[in-house]
Amino acid sequence: MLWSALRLSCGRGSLARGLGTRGGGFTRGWDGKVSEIKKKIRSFLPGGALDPLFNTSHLPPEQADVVIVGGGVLGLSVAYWLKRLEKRQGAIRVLVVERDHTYSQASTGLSVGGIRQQFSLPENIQLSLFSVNFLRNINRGFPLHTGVPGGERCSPSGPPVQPLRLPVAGFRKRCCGHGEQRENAEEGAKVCLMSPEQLRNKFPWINTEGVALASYGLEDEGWFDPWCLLQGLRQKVRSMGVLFCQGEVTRECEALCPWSVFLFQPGQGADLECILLSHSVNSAWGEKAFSPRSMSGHPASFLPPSGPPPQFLFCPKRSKIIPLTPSVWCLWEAPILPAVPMNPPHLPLPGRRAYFFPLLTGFVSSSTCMTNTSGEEVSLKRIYEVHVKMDHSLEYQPVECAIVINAAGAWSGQVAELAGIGHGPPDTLQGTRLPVEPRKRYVYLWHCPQGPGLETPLVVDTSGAYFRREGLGNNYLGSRSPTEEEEPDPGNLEVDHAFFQDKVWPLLAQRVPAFETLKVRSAWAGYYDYNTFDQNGVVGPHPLVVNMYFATGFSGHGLQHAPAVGRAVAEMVLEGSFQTIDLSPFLFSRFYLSEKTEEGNII
Amino acid sequence: MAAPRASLCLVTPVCNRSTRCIRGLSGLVAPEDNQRKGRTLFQFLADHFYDVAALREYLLRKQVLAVHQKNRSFANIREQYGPYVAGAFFILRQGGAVKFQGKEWIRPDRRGRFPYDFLKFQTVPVEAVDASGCAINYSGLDNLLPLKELQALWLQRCPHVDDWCLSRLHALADSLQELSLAGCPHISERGLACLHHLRHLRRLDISDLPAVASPGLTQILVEEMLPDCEVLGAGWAQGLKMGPGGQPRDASSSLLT
Repeated sequence: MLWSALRLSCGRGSLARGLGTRGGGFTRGWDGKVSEIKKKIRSFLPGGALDPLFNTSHLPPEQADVVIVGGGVLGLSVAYWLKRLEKRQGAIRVLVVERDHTYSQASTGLSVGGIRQQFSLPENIQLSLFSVNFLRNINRGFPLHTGVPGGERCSPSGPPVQPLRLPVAGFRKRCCGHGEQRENAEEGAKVCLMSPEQLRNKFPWINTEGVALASYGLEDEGWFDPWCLLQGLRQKVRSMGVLFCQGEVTRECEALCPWSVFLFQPGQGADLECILLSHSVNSAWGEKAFSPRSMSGHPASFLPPSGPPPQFLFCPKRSKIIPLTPSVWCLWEAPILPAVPMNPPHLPLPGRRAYFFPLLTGFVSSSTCMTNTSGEEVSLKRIYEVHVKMDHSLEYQPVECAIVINAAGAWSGQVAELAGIGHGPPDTLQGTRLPVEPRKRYVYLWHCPQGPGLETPLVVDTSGAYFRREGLGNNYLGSRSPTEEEEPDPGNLEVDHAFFQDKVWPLLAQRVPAFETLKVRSAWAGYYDYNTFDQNGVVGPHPLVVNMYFATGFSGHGLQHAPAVGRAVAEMVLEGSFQTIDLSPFLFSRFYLSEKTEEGNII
Repeated sequence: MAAPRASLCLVTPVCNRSTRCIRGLSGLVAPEDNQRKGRTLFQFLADHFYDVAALREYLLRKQVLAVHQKNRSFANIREQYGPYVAGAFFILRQGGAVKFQGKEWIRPDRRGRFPYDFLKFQTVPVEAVDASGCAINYSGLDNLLPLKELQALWLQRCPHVDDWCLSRLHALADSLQELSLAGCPHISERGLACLHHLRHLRRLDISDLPAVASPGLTQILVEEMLPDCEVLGAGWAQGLKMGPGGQPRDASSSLLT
């Protein structure tokens, strides 16, 4: 207030103008200087983040209760429900880490945006029904909190409307059709089965050759704009107080950190060679190789993992040597690296804590060793820090956290690997990886002036090809999932137009003869977070890394389940169990127990 | 409460709008005010004070609850008197009018009171419903959908009827012959695409739908979708400007009548 009054008076008075015009170069940077001084003063006042030495405004906070890795629709949905279901307003600090705020490669924005209830698993049907309810009430149920001007949000999804979704079942799928319709009817989805004659009456532009049955969703099915939903959720979640950060949880390789920790071996004599450890492990000690460099730059030989462990820690800042015993805590005052006590490299003793080296890794975790009922030793891990690396920079911020949620979509497998999931002997729980990998899928947009009219549903053919209308101008979106043999390389998002010519167009033209004359306008590619095990999502905590929760792996129907899955994960985090929809078939442990939760209706 | 950072530019508008601060609330729900450029004093205060923000949320919630209450399901009446009487009661409570087969229109008077003799018509189907201006929403349609012989449904200027509601109308597909959606602010072309289920529809009024992006093109598409139906609405030439030769030429913006 003081400043605005000052500026007003400065603006009006001729004195200030006189001051300004006195020296020629005086006014040139004056406005910029004033804003900088204002920022500095504001940071000193209560409520401002005071950091006189470094400007850390671009870094995430040092502590957060929940860190959500991945800012797509699933991550934002989890953040929304966490904030919505917390017991007291502002009780949980949530940080969403997204490495690309333009969402150029995120599956959400590139999705076709269909939503349906026609699944074979009852849990999937319930997830879709919940999500449709959420979308229907999205404008009403989103009363905006303060800070966002009322009513200026884009209506994220108008109703998917054109609730018409019509998988056309062929002869081989006939029994599925009946079974599914029963399931759908039991769960409350309104689906009707149509014979080929009814199909021809209703949609005369379909060629019903080879069709035995069609299942038609009458209500609550259709498609919507996923980008609007994403932006709407972002605005809403930001207004609820969730913090955003543009960064990546990743492993740094071979970066030299100015404040490193030096370890040395006892018995190397008084002449201590300082060894700079620049690579680290994030799982059991000794499984990954260290690549140390000495201060002079020559690679130094390091103690082999099986040798005696380092027992002393040299802190250059404190200029002292601290013996490392399991019970000693080392407090490190360097701004970036905390020092931690070490444990013997072999199996940690039962009941003892082992801290792993925190240098430049994605997750920092501690582990406790416990014995289960059958007498085996189980090592449970708990992530207590997440290292978020800034974009195009070596700078990173360790964020202390209580819970980590893996909603990284197609890259969830890599994030899980950073947390040490899958590092172990095969066929054990430690060795079970998260089987989610990116798979590339194409979407083509074409124009067909003689094509089907406004009543066109999202049609899924027996061959797997699907299409839907887009807008009012006879444009259509569609594609087909490639078979296992035709899987394209997910390294980039380049579109293969030959795939449309050879594999998609003939099938479309056979089903809808009007599509024989079409013109492709544009095309793009996006990733499925494909679960190679059973193509269904992974939801819930990991049995060994106790504070990492998954919300990923939905293989192409993550967008339509996002609100419901977000709620399920939030309930799991806050209450400890699923309350609204029971998603126990989707837990991680099914990968170890080899129990497949297969979904028949994957597009 | 923090001291307000008042700046001089807000002084003049406040004098003119001080009486609108409460009535401006209804504007927060209606879609037209979304595009309004100026901020009312109430919104400004709500953005800067927690108390006022809590008050605004309370008032908004009360409005939403009021609409919800109006659209509750009259299941007990339906069990006792049958679906026709329950539907009629629902509409009359909302302020609409109802016509039973072979009887006259029953309308509530200015005070909202209506005669109760329709309670005798338990087996007489409802033929026409005039719900113009009523606060019907998605859940309120539960009371209307059991009226299997409904022939005419007028939903003009209903503020809460949106595309989702239209997707539910397929339950009336066997009987509905006349439907009027004129002036509903939340209906867009996506909702109109759901109407293809209504194969007996003969008259459809889709004029003055502000949320439809291109009314002329939409009308053409709807006419193609429902070939037996007479579609009233924006003429196809609306939005076209006359060129120099007297031929209509495409214009980029769609006009309101």
